[in-house]
Amino acid sequence: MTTAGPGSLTASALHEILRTAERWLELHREPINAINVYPVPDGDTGTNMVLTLRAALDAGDNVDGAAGTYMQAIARAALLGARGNSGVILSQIVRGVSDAVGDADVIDGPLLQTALTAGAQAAYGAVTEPVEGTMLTVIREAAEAAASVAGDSNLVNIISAAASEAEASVERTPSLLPTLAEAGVVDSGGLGVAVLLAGISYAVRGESLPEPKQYTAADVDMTGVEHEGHGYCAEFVVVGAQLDRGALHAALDAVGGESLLVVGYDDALHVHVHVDDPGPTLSVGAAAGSLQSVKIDDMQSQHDQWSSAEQPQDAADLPSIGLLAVTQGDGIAAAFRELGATAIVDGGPTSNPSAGELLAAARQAGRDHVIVLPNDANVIMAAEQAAAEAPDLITVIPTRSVAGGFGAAFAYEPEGERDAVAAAMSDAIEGVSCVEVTHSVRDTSVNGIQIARGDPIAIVEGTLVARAESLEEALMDGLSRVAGDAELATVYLGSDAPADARDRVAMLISETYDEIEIEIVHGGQPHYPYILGVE
Amino acid sequence: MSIRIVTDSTADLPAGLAAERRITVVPLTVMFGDNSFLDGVDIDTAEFFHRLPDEPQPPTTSQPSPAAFREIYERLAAEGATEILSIHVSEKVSGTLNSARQGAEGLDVRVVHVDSQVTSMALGLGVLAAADAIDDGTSLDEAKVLAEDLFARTHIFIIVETLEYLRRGGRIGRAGHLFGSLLKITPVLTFEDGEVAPLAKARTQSKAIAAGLKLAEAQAPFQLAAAMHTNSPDGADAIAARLREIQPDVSIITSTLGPAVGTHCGPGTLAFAVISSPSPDG
Repeated sequence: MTTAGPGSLTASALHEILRTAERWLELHREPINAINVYPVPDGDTGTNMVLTLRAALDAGDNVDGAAGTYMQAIARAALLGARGNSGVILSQIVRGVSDAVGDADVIDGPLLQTALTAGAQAAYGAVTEPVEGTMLTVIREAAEAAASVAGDSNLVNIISAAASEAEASVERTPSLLPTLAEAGVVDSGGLGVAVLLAGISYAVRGESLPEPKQYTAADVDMTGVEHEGHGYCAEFVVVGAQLDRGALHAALDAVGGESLLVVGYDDALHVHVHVDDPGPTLSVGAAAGSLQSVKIDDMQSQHDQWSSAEQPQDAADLPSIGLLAVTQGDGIAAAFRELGATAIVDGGPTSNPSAGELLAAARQAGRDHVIVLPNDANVIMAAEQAAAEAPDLITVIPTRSVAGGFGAAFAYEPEGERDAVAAAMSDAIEGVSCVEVTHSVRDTSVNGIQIARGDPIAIVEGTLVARAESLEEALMDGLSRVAGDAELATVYLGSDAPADARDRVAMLISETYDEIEIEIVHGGQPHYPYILGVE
Repeated sequence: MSIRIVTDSTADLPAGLAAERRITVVPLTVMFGDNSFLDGVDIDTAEFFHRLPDEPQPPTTSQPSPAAFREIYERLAAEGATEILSIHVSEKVSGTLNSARQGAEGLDVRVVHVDSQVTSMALGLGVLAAADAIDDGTSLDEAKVLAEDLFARTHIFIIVETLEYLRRGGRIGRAGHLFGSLLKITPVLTFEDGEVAPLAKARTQSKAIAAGLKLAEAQAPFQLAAAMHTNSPDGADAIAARLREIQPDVSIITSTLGPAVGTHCGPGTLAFAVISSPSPDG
């Protein structure tokens, strides 16, 4: 089948196509978020991919030149704007494509084939241990399908082949990754890739985007991402034609929040609002026009940063090695600061900071060197991306939990030889286990455990190990798996921990483990009523 | 010429060893309320820590009086000493050395004082090494220089269960910022420039000990070593075993942290000290 279409793509054509694909991805963002297999408020794959792509394309707005120049600009911006593991992998795909395009003026069929293959290879290269049944598989199989288009290899045929293979590949992910099959979902990152390629395909064919499913507030809620008791300051600019300020204000007001401000002109409206969940707010904004300069800040963290900035120090007197911890919760942030953390970047299960944010925070620390503690499996890649961008400035200690982060922070020395300090900090993670206790946000099945929405669950070292009747039962179940000959159990109480948690938890643990010293501290973290460090 | 050595009870030298080496120990005073006890004479480590939890008031310490030193120096002169080397706890944490200097004023016997800048068996090891040198015929002036050189090579590692005692006794030094932290910190403490200073931080005692031993290993080989405890000989033995892994032929003295030192470090403290061997090139 041959379809008419462009023979090659210029920079401006590429940009237009990718902006269309971005809109298509944005429209699917919540469904992608919703199929995160992990039954806890986890890195929002859809959100991370949209924000990463947006950061990339914003850098392409003013590029006027060769396709190669354009790709280089957006690849670099994707790198810095990457959020979460899915965002980082997406940025690597863009990077691979850009490298293959080189300095070419335009992208034609054969170059697109090569570039997609390079993109897939770069994606695999970004992951230490590639897992099949994920977005890696989807981009690889899509690239293979694109490469196999022979003969009349025009752009339309190639991209159509890639898009339809991606769609098929996504459907096969549960057969490759048992956790997906068990949960009855396809891979969320893989779906993101397929949606993106479909969006590109529509644009290349010159077709307008089909009518997407309209997501109501109730549908958004179905994603189950809980943000209760957690205030965000959301700010963004809506860009479009003949924007209706009053209508946007009313729509934003309807989804809730405080301190709502909608100001500007009919082609750009600046929105500012304090909300518990910025998701629906952004969706409303995105429905009105194209979102730009999206800024979501955890207000507690802002307050912490403001407080810590009260006593400025003379930069010349500062020790040479800084410490940057990615974390959520005022108590946990304060404890990291007490251990010498020079910067706290808000981030955790539901808000993965981008590589660019981490890089900026590291640069702002004003130190010769900064050690970064990601403290979450989904932040590690962005941190490593930031380190790759500034290897002389940043060293990442790949901490996967708050407990591991504290283990490392105890060995932090602001003065010392960077490699020695980093090595000591890495060693200090050993022997620290982390148990996280929360409520499942959806019905699912993980590792053979049937879970209903709202069930208390225990996660040990990132793996769901048990469901329980109560949060405390989940805590004790998790603890039993790592207690061993532990000396100390530290319980970090979340912002939504029960009021009498302090005494109850201390008593529960001491009844079973009279040899373990117990420390109960205010963590203030969202989503996880209890985080437990065992060592 | 007969040179005698004097130290104070904070050296935590086992009593038999001090007597055997003819080292005279001047006791500090430990007080529970109005009741005062001569450290290591009227009260030993076991009794001190047995009483500690039941006492309404936390204990305090006071340095020996100048008169106490004078009496000791005069007695040693009467026994035939022509010169005395008096080696003491860091002047920054105790007035003991000041009393010793005052006690020596106007005496016929020559007394040379050394500030060890440390305490407990870090002081004790240096005293023993100085005694060795004097037994080998070293002069008093040479012995003073040698002692100062020894203390420059001496490292002490102290792992307290709580910083409360150091803080209350005003000896927390440069570790003050670690007190009252949000997360409990078990620091590895040392003496730096004569006062308490933190070397490393850990969450638990076993990790702190491991961290301390790792830091000690970097100072090997050792000329002498010691392991100390308040009420857990097993803990001190385990540390001694680890030091022997680092250096199988090292001579290790195990000792208790006496009431005076115990007043400031508190129960549950484990500590160890090493003197690094002098470097071959001098």
